[in-house]
Amino acid sequence: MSYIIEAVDVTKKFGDFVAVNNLNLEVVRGEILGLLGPNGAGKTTTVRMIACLLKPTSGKIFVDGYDTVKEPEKVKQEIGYMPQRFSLYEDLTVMENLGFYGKIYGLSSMEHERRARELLEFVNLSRFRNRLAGKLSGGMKQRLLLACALLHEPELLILDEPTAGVDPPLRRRFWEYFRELNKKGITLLITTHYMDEAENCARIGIMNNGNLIKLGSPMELRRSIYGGDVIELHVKTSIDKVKALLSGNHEILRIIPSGDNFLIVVKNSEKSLPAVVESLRREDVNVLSARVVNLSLEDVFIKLTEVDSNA
Amino acid sequence: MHDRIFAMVEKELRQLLRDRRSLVIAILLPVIVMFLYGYAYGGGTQHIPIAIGNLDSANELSVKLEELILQNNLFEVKKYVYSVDEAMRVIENGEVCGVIIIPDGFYEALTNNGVGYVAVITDGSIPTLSEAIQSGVRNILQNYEKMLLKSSYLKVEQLRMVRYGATLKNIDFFAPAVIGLVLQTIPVSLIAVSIVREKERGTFEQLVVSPIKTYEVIFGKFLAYATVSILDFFLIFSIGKLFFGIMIRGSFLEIFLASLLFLIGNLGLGLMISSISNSQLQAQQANSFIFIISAVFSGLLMPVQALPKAATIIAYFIPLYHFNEVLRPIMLKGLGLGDLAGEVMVLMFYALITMGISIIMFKKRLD
Repeated sequence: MSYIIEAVDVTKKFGDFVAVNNLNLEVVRGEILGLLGPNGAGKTTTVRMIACLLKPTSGKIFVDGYDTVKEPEKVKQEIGYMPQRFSLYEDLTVMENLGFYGKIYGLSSMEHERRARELLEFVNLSRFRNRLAGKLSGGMKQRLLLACALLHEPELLILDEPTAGVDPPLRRRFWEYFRELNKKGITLLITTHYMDEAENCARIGIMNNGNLIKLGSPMELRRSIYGGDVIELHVKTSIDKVKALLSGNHEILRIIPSGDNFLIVVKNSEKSLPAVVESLRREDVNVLSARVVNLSLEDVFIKLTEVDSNA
Repeated sequence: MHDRIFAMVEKELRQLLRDRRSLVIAILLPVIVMFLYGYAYGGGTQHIPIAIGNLDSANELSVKLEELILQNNLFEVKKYVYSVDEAMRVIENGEVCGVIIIPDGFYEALTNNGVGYVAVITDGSIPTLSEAIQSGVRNILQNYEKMLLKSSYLKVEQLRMVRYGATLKNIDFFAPAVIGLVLQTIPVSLIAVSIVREKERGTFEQLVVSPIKTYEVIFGKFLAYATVSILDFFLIFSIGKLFFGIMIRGSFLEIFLASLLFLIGNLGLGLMISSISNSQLQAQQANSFIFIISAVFSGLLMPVQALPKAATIIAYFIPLYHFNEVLRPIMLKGLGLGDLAGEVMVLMFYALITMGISIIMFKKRLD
């Protein structure tokens, strides 16, 4: 079984409101998959269904082959879930919280002792083990949530906006944690609305209005906007001449004038850029500049959601 | 599996010990209520205005009884009456709360038959005083018999039955109702708030994604607050007994067993409230509502028998009423659970129904 999560035709309605619409999603074991989308896109509803917090209105979700509705207890053992809101007991200490959940997950006291020590070291909270959770800073609380989600060594870690409201240095730290966990073979499903974070994911699913509108690696998504990579060319020549000169190059998909410049869409920018410049220079065209346009995921996201909203 | 339940119990108790508000409800509230009631009613009633009507001819035996009544500081003799009609009148116009009548032929009956009667007329509009007067007379008559017994075997009976015992502290009348009210309010409030708080603070979500089962959550909470409620039970009775000497004629074990049944029902009720409430405020409002109705129909303010007929029907649906109907006879009359089987069955039914419904209503999934 290579897929750790399989969602088949999943729809979730709250009354008349369709929060998630006919979602099909497969998460590959060992990958980091990001769900990206604006608030209300259906990301949180999706992960809550996977974590057995909500029942789908229709469709089925399998985690490691277990049906989330029929065998939630089995699914829950596989999943570590970190919700948006702090969800541990503020009137218990760090260790008491971990102790409680250790017992809930059926860890032996020795096992628990070892895990708790490891995890507190991992998230850098060892010094605060006896502090009440309510007296921790926001960032420390998030780290405690992460430690708690990892306590029972889950195969799959579901993180619902783990970095919302977290300061930038800590966000970077969190992503270091996530990559480290991923290296150990844990699959991560992360929702976020930070584009820069999505770059860290092996694949990104873009959600809008309850629909999964695009799924792919960051590179694939960027290419999907123009149908390929984009090279920006600044030359003192007419468009017809450029078109004529480059017509022989089969790597070029499209040429789009853009003010004084041209945008050239190619299959692969790394391969085509030197070739394009070379072929123009050969014909004595004065190439003032040529560069690969790095479309940010933000651009991609806006383009994609625009299309979706217009449709 | 039991590990999870015990983890839950341990967690709940630990949180309770750290939460000042819950601690106040769990420990301070019963202490305060018991002391307030104890001091307000524990001193016993004194100087109840009464009248004496000695309708027998002046003789040694009736005068001796009259003297005993005059010496007793429970009563203040305001008036002497000379006929039953007059006795009725002084009660009706509120001059006195009761009249003790030594009837014509008292001496004769006592000397010839060895049995005499005394009539006690009380103002029924003040039930607690009425009971106090009757008990007071009973007390006097017992002393009177003892005095006479030295010379001969004589017995003097009262024409009105005294329902409750013979010591005259008001707390004896109120203690069962107050205890019942405390044993209801605290468990309902604690368990309902503990669950609703988990919903409010989002901690419930973490529980739901964990493999803990619904019944384990319920049972863990139930055991934790049953423990606290049982401690409260002993706390209340200790205060009542040590500080105010409340009367416990029946078996304490049977009182405990009846209270346990009542507590189980109340915890079930608390669970039911928690599943329909979304905030601590709502839960507390529901609890207050039940508290007020219970207080009215439990005989704490007025004996239920004194309420209009329609109201007594409502009382049958109030668990606290039934608990009082068990607790009061055990404490004051020394009856056993066997004598009160009907009411005990009602308490069992209450426990079964509330626990059953709460388990069905308690939804572990959040949608």
